[in-house]
Amino acid sequence: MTRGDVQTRLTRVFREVFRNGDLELQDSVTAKDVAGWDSLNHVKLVLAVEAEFDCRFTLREIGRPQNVGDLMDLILKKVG
Amino acid sequence: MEITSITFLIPVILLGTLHPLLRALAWRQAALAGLNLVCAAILLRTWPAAAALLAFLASGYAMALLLRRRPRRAYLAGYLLLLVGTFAYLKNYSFLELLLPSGLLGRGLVWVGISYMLFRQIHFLVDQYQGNDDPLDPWTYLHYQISIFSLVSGPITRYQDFHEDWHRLEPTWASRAELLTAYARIWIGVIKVLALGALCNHLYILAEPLWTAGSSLTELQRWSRAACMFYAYPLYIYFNFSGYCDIVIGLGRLYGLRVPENFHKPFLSRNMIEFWTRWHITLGAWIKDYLYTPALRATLTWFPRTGANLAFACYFLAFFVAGVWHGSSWNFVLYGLLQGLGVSAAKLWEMFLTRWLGREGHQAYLASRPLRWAATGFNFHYFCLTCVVFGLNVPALRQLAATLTARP
Repeated sequence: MTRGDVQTRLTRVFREVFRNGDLELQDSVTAKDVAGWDSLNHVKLVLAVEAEFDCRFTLREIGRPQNVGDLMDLILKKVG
Repeated sequence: MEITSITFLIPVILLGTLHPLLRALAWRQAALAGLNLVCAAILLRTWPAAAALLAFLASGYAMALLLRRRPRRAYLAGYLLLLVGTFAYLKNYSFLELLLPSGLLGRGLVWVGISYMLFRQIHFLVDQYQGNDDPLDPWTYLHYQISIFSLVSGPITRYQDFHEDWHRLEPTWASRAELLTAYARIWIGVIKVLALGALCNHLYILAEPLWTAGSSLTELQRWSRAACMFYAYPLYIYFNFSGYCDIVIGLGRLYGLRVPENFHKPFLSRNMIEFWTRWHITLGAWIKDYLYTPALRATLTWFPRTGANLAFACYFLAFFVAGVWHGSSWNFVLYGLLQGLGVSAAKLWEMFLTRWLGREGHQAYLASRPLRWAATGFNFHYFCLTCVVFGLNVPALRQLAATLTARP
């Protein structure tokens, strides 16, 4: 799976979780840049990402990503 | 041994100043290990406490090794149940009176920093169970738990960060200015504890007649002392605790240890959710990572359609536990209830505003300065209220209530 593939699928996940069909993702995007990205929606996002990519994050990994780029790196590491 | 005492600070600062001159990592580790062990020995005071600590550390490390080889949920759950139960028993939590016959209640056997060690232990073992590949060795684990820069009152450090620092112990400053800042931070911490905190404590003590023998006070005396108590005690806790953190953060830098920040302008928080990201930051982070997130995750999994509406309950549970963790008497149960109420109410308010105003309206609400200041003022006073309960046991709270409501 390429980084581009991850970005495409992750964008779809973000748009569903945050109910924003216009959302575009870049590596530098953080929680402050996305309306509604609070701790509740972060966990919803994690569950949705896990379902999309068939992986499971540890508690440490859930809190680690500082931005979308970090999240994509983590997904790539998980799905190999 | 007080962290702010000259008998502690001068030798530790001197040793910290010489520490970077030790060329070999093994020597730097040995020096810091010696410091940790000497301080731990002084603080432990009794052989039973030392034996209990040894059992705690040995069992934790053994469980980590077991979880590495066989990461079974039953092992982790069983050990954590035993750990938390033993902790509650050794600290003589008041609620045990409801569960155990009086003959079985313990006399209490604790050592300094036990509450912080408990959370470090849980984090360490949960991470091992979940397969985080932190290198394990007993010497690093021992010093992670007894490091003098987090032993007494935290901060709640993470094993992986400590491991990285312990196997380097190199100066954390890039310039002489940064080094001087570390020294300055130590002394700023001392001033906070010994001057500002002590002043606030003195003001707080002036209010003592309110909960001891308040009936002889005039109404003006009652309410002026109540105001002293209401505002001075939270400030005392802030100066005392943040000052201690300044000291250990500054000292840690001398030895090459990155002790995490624990306070960041907490009284500027607009609600209790934000408050716990600014006050006792490492506790808030631990509660979020190891209580709130797993609870919310389970809730959203079991109730996919309605789980989001139950998020406030996860907040309540997590911060109720945070409150109760602070102490073993019944007033800390009240403190936990108030903390849980504060964060869950903040969450419910946010959910209400989002539904009422829509996303954009909510963003405009958050951006409004007057509203922010109003919310900050309200939140500060709410925190002051929780501190009333934090500082007094139940009989004293009853006397306080009686004194304040008595007719002149």
